[in-house]
Amino acid sequence: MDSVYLQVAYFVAALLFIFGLKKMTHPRTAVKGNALSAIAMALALVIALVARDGYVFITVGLMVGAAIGVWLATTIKMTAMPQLVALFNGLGGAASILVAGAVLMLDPHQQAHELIATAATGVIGAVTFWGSLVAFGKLQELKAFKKPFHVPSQQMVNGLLAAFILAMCALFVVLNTGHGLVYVVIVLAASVLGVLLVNSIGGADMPVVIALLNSYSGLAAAATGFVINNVVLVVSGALVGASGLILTSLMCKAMNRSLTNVLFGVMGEGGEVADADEVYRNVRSTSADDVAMILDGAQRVVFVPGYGMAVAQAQHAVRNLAKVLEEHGAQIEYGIHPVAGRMPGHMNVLLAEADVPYEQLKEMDEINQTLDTVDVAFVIGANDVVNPVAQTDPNSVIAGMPIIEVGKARTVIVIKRSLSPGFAGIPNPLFAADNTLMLFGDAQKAVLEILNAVKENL
Amino acid sequence: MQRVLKWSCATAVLLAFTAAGLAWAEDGVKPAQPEPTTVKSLQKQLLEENAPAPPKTESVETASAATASATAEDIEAGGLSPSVIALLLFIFVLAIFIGFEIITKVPPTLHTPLMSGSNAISGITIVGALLVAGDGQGVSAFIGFLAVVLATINAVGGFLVTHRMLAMFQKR
Repeated sequence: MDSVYLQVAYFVAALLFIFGLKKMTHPRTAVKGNALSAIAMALALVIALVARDGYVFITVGLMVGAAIGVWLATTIKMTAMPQLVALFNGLGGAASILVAGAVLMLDPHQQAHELIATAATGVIGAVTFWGSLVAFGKLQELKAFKKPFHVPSQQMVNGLLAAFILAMCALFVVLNTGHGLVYVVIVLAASVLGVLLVNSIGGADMPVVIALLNSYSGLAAAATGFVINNVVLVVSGALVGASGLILTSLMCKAMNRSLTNVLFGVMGEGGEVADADEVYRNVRSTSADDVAMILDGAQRVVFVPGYGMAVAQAQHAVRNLAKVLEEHGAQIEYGIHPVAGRMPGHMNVLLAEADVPYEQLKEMDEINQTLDTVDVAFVIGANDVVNPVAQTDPNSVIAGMPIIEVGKARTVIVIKRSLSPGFAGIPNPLFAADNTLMLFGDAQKAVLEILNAVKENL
Repeated sequence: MQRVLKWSCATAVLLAFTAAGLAWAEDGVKPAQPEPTTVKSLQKQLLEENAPAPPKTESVETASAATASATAEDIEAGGLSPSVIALLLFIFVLAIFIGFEIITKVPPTLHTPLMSGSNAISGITIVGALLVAGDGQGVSAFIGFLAVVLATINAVGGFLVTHRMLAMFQKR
């Protein structure tokens, strides 16, 4: 095959990636879009294989990788999706480090721009890999990651580490002979930085981190593209980088926090935190039977899910309840906050798994406009994203964060295990509002109880 | 409609630049040469033809150059012209713009599949991994092998799991 055909074929692969992503803009075409991207990958793979002689090593590597990939992708539970995405992210970053390292071993006499690209790959790849591993550990709720380990004056340590990495990169480029040892030092230092950066981040900030690491994995691939001068790596890496950046900024906006604020773990300096006992004096709890009575004759019902729904795996129960209500003439919608859950779009995936039609999934801004005509709003395992303090108290830690204004509904039913605060650590006056009833218990069990009570009533 | 137009224009520009770059790089390739795989190796040959005595002799047995069982002259060739780097940077920036244009239109409902799908795309490093895996010996070959495995898990697993998710959205 002539070289120019190879280049054109790589180029076609890059174009297919673009078209594949383009089709991701609608649920109906998204499956095709993903398939298109997969075809593009297969094409790039075939080209890379054609360009060289067959090799046993490669075949074995491909087969082992594919087997593990298929196994992970087919056995994972939908609720474990955030962990899996984090893990895959990390593997991409690691592969980039290895490729750049291997190229360096094969040809230490690189030019300045290649050395810069190699150093960049090492830094971004290592931060991606270790950051993703820590994120995985946190999402999987492994014991070692339950509490972030304390680093004295972490911000300064991070700053010094970053400066050290930059200096090493400069040295790496200036030395001009592609020093393998310096590369290893860069990778190690960046690894520590990756661990430290994600270590202090948790809970509701997880969607931002996952999106950012997603972006990094793309940038690492693009940097590798500069190392081996390959168009398809550069283009697809850039696409992924852009995609991750957009998601990151969307997530930050949804929390009214800046990226630096999230990354450096500075929860806004909140004023005095209201006393929980004081706020919760008038909390009224209810029972499944009472909820069923309230639901009798409800015209519009909205479900607002949060991470608690994912933990309790309550999405199927919720869907079944919604189905029964629908059969009796109620209009069902789901109000979804952008940062509900542990990654962008987390709630949507869970509800889609439970067969909820995507037309019923409403974005925050859309659902907020009509919430005052809603009869019953269910809050299932959500807390901070429905906390009215964000709008009423300018001194609160979550001041200015857009929320789903469920308080406007005629009746609000909050299903929650206890009155414990959410990630922001502040009490939620919604729970004590006049039109709010608390139903304490595990989300799945509680919803099933309501479902049975509703069925008996009808 | 306007969006489609804008988007197509951006793609066309990207296409044009890449094609121009390819044609330009191809200019210097001897017809009888065995196939080199990258712009870099093409460029090396170009320089070699036009300037038979490159100022410095570098061992350029990189993964990319060596891939195509490069000739001895190839290995004697000079460096990569700055304009190729500029071209790659150009493509990089344009691709980011296209990415921004497209991704902003993805509805929040699809954000998780978007993330895992684009994540799978970043498994494209597999191309680089393939290029180095066979070239090296000993340690570098093993590193390449490891990179192939990791990138394949990333790509195959990523696309599959995205498909699983999207199929759920499409059921109705």
